[in-house]
Amino acid sequence: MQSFDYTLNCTGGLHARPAGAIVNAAKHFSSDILIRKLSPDGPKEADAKRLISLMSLGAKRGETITFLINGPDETDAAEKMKLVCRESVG
Amino acid sequence: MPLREQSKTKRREIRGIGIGEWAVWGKIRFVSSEIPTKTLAYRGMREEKEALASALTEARAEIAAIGRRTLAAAGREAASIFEIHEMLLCDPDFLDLVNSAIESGTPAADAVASAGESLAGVFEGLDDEYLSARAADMRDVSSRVRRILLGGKSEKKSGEGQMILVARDLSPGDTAGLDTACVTGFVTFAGSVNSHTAILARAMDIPALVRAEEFSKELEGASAILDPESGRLLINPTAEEMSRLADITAKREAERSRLRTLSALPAVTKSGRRIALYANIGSPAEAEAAHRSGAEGIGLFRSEFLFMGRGDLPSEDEQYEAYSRVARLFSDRTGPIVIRTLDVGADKALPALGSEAEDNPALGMRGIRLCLEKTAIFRTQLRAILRASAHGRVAIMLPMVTNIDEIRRTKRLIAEEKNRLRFEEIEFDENIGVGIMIETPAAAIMAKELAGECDFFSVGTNDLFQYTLAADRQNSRLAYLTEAESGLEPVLRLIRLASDGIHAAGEDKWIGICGEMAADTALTEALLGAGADELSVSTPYIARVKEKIRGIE
Repeated sequence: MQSFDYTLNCTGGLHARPAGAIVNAAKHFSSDILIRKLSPDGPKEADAKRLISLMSLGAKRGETITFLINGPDETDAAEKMKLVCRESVG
Repeated sequence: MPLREQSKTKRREIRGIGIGEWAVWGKIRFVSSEIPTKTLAYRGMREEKEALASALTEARAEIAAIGRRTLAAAGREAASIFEIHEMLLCDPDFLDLVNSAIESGTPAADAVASAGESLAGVFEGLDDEYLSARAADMRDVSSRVRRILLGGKSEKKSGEGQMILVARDLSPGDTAGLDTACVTGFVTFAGSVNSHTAILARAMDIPALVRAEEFSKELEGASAILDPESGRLLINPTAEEMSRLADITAKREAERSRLRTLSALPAVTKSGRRIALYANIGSPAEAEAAHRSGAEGIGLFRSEFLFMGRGDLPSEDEQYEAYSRVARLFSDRTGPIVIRTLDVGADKALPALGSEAEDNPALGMRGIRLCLEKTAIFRTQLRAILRASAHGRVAIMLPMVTNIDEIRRTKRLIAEEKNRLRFEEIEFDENIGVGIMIETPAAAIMAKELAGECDFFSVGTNDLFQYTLAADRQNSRLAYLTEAESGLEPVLRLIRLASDGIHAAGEDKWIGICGEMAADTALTEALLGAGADELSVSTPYIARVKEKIRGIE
């Protein structure tokens, strides 16, 4: 199990383009990749391989999301997700 | 005159949120939503699922075609909207909803409509403008599939003459399909500036008014001016307003044709002196716009973006990916991609470097001075740049050099990293160029000697200015020094001195200007006169500077 936090710095939060970049990268790994966001009603989770699920998190600029990665290629997946966050999400 | 006729010809002003720059004229044409109202009876689960599968394939092909058209017409960023549409179309959450509705006896077309509507509702419920604007994308995708299921054709909105389309809302797909030969602008009562429709309108250069006050269909066919700058639609404009529009249109056409011609032309003076005109960028994301604007190379790629705003340091791979992305993009251009190594210091502190406070940060540990102290970080960056040089004409530029020994020490590090790469059989450009910034009077004065150790030079005018005049340009009380003609002269003389030295040292050595002065067209002639071979400016200035160069003898 790999996990890391990322604080969103992109103007629109996790909207279509950044969410799309995450989905495109996540699809290539066999590990389960979940993204969790804490909200007043308790934690919300989304599947990083599903765009609608990810956008429905409603993660905004300044909010912190947690990546939870579990599976055979979790180390590579975590590295790739960190790269995508910095390069394509912002 | 009957009341009805009067309202048709009366001047009216409709307010909304303008998108775009130039005002346009057209006749108002209402477009209603074209989603067919008919329904088809349920034909059994297998038939419905087969119909769905083939409609999804067709929708995917349509979206891909719109994406390709948009890429050609409006660039990659605009086209990426349709990659998102494709992902929405194939999203398991969408398909699960559709399939389970079909399984419980709903015809495919209705199942698609209700799944799209319910997911659009989820987006709308999000407490964020950007995210709720994505509801329109979801609806566009589902209504496309529904239309195909009901046997409708994709309709291109076109017609005679110049039209301003008016609709409750336009989907991104509709917008990308607008026939720009006859649609001069559009008005929507709904929508938002954050919608993909708005982004496309900007990229396609179609002015628009969104969230406009509603007006009735009686105005169909009326003459109107859409002025995005003031956020107004002028229905039945006065003669005076029409003549003002004619002026704006003439100006716009002159501007457009000038820019069109310019981007394809070389930056060459009337007497035939070729000037290299490159772009300054701060991240790989900016490289695309620079590429589109016709920049022949990157004269300054600031690498700080990789290091700022984080607690740790970027890995070699992360840097390599960023540098090589730009190198690949510009591999079709003649100019180099000049990557400036990390330029931070006491005033631009990096938490990961743990800087010590200095009494005089502008004269302290910054640029190359810091890199030569933190060689582990420097080596990582040099390796990443070397690896990226396998993908294009990459060059290394060192900031804040004052002394030839700084160049020699750096070149030793580069040679060592090259050896390691060779040993590891990793590709790189053996002849990668190494140059320096001229930011200090010392570097300018000693340029002839420094040229023995480097291939090119680029003047950072902001720092050279401040170190030459011993005056901070931000300090308004010193404006009498920094803004005066007499303040410029010593800087120009230093550039002249440097360029004479550099050109004497070797024919293939060049000197460029990458600071703010390079973008100031009032100074272009003076900079070329001082011997500059290259100017590097941020993307929006490229056309203007090129125009200026072409006007100089």
